[in-house]
Amino acid sequence: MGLRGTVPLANGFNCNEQVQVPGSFASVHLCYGYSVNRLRCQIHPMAALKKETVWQVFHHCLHISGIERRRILSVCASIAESSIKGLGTEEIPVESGKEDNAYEDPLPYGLYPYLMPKHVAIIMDGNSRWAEQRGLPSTEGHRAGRIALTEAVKLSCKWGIEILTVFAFSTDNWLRPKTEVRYLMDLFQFVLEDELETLKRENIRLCVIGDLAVLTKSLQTSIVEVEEMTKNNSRLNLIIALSYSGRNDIVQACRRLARQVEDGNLKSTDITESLFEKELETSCVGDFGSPDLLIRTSGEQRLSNFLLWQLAYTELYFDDSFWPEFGEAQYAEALRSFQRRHRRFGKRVCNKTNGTINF
Amino acid sequence: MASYSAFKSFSSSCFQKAAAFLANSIYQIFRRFVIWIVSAGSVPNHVAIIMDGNRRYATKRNVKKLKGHEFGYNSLMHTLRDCYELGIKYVSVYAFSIENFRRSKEEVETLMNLMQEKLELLIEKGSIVNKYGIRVQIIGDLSLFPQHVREAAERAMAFSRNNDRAVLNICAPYTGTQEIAQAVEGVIKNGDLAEKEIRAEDIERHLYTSNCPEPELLIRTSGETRLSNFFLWQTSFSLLYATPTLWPEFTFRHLIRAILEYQRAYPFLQKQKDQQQKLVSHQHHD
Repeated sequence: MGLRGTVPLANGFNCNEQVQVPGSFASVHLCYGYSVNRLRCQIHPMAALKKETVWQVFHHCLHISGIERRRILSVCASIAESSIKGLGTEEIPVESGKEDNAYEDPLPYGLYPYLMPKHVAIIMDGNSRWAEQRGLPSTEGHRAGRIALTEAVKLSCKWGIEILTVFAFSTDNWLRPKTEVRYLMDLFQFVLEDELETLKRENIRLCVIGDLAVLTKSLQTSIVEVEEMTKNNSRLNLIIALSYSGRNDIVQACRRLARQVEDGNLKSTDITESLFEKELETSCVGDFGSPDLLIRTSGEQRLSNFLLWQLAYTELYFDDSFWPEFGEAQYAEALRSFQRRHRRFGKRVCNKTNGTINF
Repeated sequence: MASYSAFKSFSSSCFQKAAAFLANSIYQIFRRFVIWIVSAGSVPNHVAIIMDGNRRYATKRNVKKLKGHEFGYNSLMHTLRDCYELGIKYVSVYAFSIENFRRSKEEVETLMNLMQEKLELLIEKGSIVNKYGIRVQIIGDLSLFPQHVREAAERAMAFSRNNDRAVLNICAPYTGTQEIAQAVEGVIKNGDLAEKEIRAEDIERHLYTSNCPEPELLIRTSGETRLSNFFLWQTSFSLLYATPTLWPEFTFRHLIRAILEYQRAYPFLQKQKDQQQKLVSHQHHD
């Protein structure tokens, strides 16, 4: 994916290196100036490339050559529109120390904005074990978990992730001790009321999925209220899975389709995968209900009945730290691991015909 | 003189053969010993495997990429033998995804021919199917296969229908989403269930794996950690074990390592299973 091979930094000499971008006709010609603040990329594709794609290629060059982007004074990208020698030259000035608009808030090292997952799902596991390790009651663990969640939401907003789904309470968790369950329900209610202002201010939309009928009436009312007040927000979609089970999600979608068939609006032979997907609870975010990345904390390597259909092609990442310990460093590491992966979706990555760069 | 050198070469080759025989016997005894120890702990009843990495292995060995699938098949036979000797009764393998039909025509054709060839091999005398009494089930949307593969699949299934000591599920062409969608269609088409009465068990009954227990362990080779649309419903509580080894390099010791990992996580998996059963019985009482 992207550019292959490392380009050694010249020791004060002009260095010309040609790197082929696999899967396209583009090749990147790198030449270093004596003082490493001018990097010229010449791209000779058979088809014209968009400016954004040029940026992507450029950043890959930087990455493999180890030059920090802040030190670059200007970039010359010349795009040849045919196989005849370079016709267009586009100068994209980058002022030293200042960043371009598209990269306003610097991401942690090693993360690329265009490789960020659109939808991240997190199984927040390990509150009780974290508390046990410290000799605290499990309620303290859940309180610490709430702080970690707030942090994760803040980071997701900052790093441009569009949808964040978190597994707050599973149907299995109803079997926990009654005191713990009652505390959790009170905590959810408190957090909803407490964070409403923050959600409005930060432009975050809240959706709650799961079997809400078994929750207390007051909690259900709070949920509906908050969802209503934030429904037009667009910076981040925060989906909280409360009393949720992946299998029950599929069963309720099946029931909805059965009702449509009973009402005569649908024939049973018309049921397709895409139609079914629209009936799942994650369709509140439209077509993006399938996470790109799933993070599970506390080291357990299983899905525990979370988002089954939606995880068909999701990259799974298992972290050994407990959820209250999951902070910026762990989140960045999970995203780095995601960005390194090659996603094929069952096919082969092969774009020989249209000259685009496939990352 | 000539007879002496002939005698010398004959005796040295005899010696080599004897040494090889001895080494092999020691290895077999050691292998039996490891199997005996590992199967003293809990061994999963059903193991699912995503066999990934054939093409990368072929590149590593500098052979044609499509030959990697041949190596993959050999690896599958060894692993099946190891599984059945360990006492794992059900083994499911992800042989071909419906998405794989989108690969190059050449590759798909080769894979189809390979599949037909290997399915026919399975029902020959002396094959692993007869040796271990394996019932072969090919699960997936078989109507997507070309005629010759479909017929070979049906022959293999008919041949082994009466075996009951072990089960091999070959998932081809399969995707988890298609399986669930067709199960939902089946439940609705059935018609005698009112909308409110539809439960998880009804969907389970219409899945392709309705006659198997759920896999306790899912092994994925070649280092990727994703499901790639395999067994989405059935693996909700399974241990997901990813190993960076490529599939043709997956041997006995890799399998043992996976089983040991399962044994380590066994108490948690059991607890989750008990919780699920409690929940289901609660739901039935409602």
